[in-house]
Amino acid sequence: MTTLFERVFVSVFGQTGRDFIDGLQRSSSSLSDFVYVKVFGLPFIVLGARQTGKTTLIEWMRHNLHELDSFAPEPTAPGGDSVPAFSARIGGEGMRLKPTRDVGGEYDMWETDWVELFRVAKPRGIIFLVDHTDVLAHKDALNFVMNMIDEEIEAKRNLKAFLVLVNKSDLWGGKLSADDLLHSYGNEVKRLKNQAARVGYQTWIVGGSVRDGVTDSGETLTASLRTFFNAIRPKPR
Amino acid sequence: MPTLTLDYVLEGRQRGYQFTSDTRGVAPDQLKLIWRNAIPRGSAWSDPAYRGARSLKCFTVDDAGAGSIAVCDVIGTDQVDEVGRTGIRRAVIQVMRYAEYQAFLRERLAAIPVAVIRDAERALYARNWDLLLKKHSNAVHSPLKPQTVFTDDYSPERWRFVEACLLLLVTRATVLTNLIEVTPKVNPFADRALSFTTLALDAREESRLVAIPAAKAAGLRGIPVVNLG
Repeated sequence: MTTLFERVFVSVFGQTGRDFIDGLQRSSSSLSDFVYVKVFGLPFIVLGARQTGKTTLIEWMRHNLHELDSFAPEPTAPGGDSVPAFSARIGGEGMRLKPTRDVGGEYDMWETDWVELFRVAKPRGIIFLVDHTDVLAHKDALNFVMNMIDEEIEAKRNLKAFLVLVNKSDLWGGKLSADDLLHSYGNEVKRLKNQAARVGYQTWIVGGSVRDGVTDSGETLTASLRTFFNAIRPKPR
Repeated sequence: MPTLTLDYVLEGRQRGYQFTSDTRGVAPDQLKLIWRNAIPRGSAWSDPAYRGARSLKCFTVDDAGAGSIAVCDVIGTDQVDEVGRTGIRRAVIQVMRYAEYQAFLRERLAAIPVAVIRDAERALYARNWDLLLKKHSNAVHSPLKPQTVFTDDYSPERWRFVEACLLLLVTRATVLTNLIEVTPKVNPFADRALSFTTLALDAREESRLVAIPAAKAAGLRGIPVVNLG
């Protein structure tokens, strides 16, 4: 949408004025991209029911996506833990990432810690984790997040991407595929796609293992994360 | 006033951290505040050194009228969840009126051996300048309500001394405690009850006064610490 100033400027200077304004907008977008990706950090949040690997995913990213041999996660306590912005190398590019907090996945934390985190972080992306256990709990959690997105008008304003990661493929990969696992999530997946079209964010579903850093199709999980982070940056790539 | 228990439940449909006691009688907003703040921050509670470790964490839940303070007695348990995770903590929370809280602090201090309290007084007296200067150089916390972080080498015995230091400061028992914050009798902006945590593993988002083991202090950036050792 053009502003009054732009219209006046273009009417006075013609095509040269239009080129100047386009150039200015491109520079401003590049600057904003630089500030987010290199200085302040791309705001995103990690959610999912308990024991799906949220803490491990954040720790893996903090360790520059290297394997976590000796990391032993603890159940995240009510209130969660603050996670300062950190730098990680995502698909060849150094990015500053800002998950804000690591929150637990217990039912009692949804209404408190998740909603609070969503409001505070105003994330540009959400990574939602599920695994092969307790389908009902994961479906409840996913529905809760989609309700939260619908209800929190201010917080969802920046949302650009929603990645569902079916984690722990090292445990289910031999017997099942991500599609098999997601068979029970038909309504939720449909609802997610509808919401994505309505709110204006991109969504993907990927199976993989944070522990091993691979997807169930054999690619690196880093590639999926690169797609996700490139979608949430101010100048998408 | 009610006593709440925040526990890690390992059986039933809804597992994990939850209030296992009746929460009726506590306003929803206060309950949320207690939920978010009762358990001290930080990870590595699964370290054998902190198994059985106790922490006392107190913070205001209602500043109006007679005031309400949550007094949280937290212990590191040896529970193991279904996927083998440890570092689980349990909190018993009493919500007290301000007058009751003052009496509770005095009783808690009186239960510590006199020799330990004497050591704590000496340690605090020797760190007057540290207390005064370091709180204002804390780059992370608000300059209006600065946080003071204490460290020492952790052992259950040594932490009685650290607890004595914090209790001395929050009961405003000596002149030097006013270096933390001048009493509300003089300073209208002072907190009526200074929030404190006797053992946390991270100072971020913690109380105005917080003690953390020296081993965990290395990870704090921009947060000056007062070493009690």
